[in-house]
Amino acid sequence: MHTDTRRIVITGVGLAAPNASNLQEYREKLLKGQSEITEIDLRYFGKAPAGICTFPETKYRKKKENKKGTRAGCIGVYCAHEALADAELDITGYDRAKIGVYIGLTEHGTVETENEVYNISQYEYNTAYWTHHHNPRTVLNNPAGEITLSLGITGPHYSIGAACAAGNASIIQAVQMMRLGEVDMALAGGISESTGSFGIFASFAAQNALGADEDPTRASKPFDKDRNGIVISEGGCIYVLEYLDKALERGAKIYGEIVGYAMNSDARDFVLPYGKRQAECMRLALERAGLEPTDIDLINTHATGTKQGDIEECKAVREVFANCSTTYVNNTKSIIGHAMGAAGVLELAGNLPSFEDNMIHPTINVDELDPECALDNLVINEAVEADSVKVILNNSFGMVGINSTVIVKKYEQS
Amino acid sequence: MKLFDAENEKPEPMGEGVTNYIAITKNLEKPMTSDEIKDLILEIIEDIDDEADFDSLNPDEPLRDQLDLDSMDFLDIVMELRKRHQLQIPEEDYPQLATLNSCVKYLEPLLKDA
Repeated sequence: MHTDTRRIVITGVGLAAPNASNLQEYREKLLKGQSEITEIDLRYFGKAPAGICTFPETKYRKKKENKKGTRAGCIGVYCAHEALADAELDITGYDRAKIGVYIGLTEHGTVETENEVYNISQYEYNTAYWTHHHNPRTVLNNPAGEITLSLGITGPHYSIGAACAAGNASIIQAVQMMRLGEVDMALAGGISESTGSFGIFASFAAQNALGADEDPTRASKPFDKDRNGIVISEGGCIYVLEYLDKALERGAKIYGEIVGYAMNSDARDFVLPYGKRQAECMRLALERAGLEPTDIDLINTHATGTKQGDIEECKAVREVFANCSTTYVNNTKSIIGHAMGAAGVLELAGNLPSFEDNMIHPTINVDELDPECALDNLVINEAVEADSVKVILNNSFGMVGINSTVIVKKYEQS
Repeated sequence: MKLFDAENEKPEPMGEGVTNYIAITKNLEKPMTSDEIKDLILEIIEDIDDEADFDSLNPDEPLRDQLDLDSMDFLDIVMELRKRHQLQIPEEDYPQLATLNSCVKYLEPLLKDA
């Protein structure tokens, strides 16, 4: 084993969001603040706002394989192929045994288990009717494994369970594995199929943390005084991560360089977030990146639209970025909902084009800003143009006290 | 540990996107003919793969090779026969479901007794 400290860059992005199936369309809609959150009707639970993706499901895999696998696998296969296409990368240029697939998940198996319990309820709960597909569908590596099956990748694949910090955690895992020399290239990202589970909706509702509004596109409203909870979305986003020299060698488009990251734990409460630890997480990522808070041009917040969660993150941001007059702050969940395991990566992806156009997409649905969330330079309702965007800090936090921060820098030839 | 309380919970219509598990139990009123059994098998395979091409299917050659079915697909056929006709097919009999004609030969007496 050797340690490879070469620089690691993002060279491809594949995504399925509730309002887009590729980065360009996604970026355009984020800049316009165009939400396509809709209302769904869930078994047992009833109606709720949710983000549903409408990507071409059979573009890279037959319908038969989609039926055999999971929704998460279907999203993952689409995103992985799209990422490679976006990177203009033929994976035969790499040793397939040295490609890693790292997929962040908030949860997995919930949807499949609920469906199967319902299935056997049609047969008087006789487990002879329980599907043989249950285990391969619910093993935690399922979405990552379905990607390797589709692409013939024989390197390592696994999922990273990190609640809603999982998207960022997958990037961190991939960077670490590349620096260890375990793999030469990685497909890293996050996936959510949570909109298929009535239990996830019911549990947030029982916590009084499920967002609602007469207009589903207005249900997700982080930082607004009347915010009332989370809007659950499905989705996925996968990055191609390559060493900088390899990317330069093949003339790849470089979206940005991963220059810093951190993860830590609140060690405090099952669900309540804790700004103090979030601030520590951001500081550690900055320290590792060798950056000062004033170097950050844009903070993409995790804020989900819950009363306390948004306030805690704002406290943390205020504490770390107290004197940063040129640091903008935005939030993507207001537009796409909370894509759970995909949230961190989808939200970062939507901001990467800022390195090119210096535009900052807005946080929408803020009618009356909560004074406790009134951060300086919070971009509200309309996109703004910054003087320049060279460094983005991306936060993702999750239940049981897990925090993650990833810092991405614009690549500029020195 | 019970996940659900079977006595108090009444199944309701499935939510969107849940299509893999729909099964209709058909009680036979009369014995199935061999053609009906063939249709049944092909219908089940079509549910598994709606792009399956039956045009050049040789009824005496293995279904798996001709229709690109794997072991999980094969178990889907076994499960559908259980759901639709309450047939419990023991593992040692699986080879008898290899070809379309062997399916008919094996299932005909069983479906007569159903």
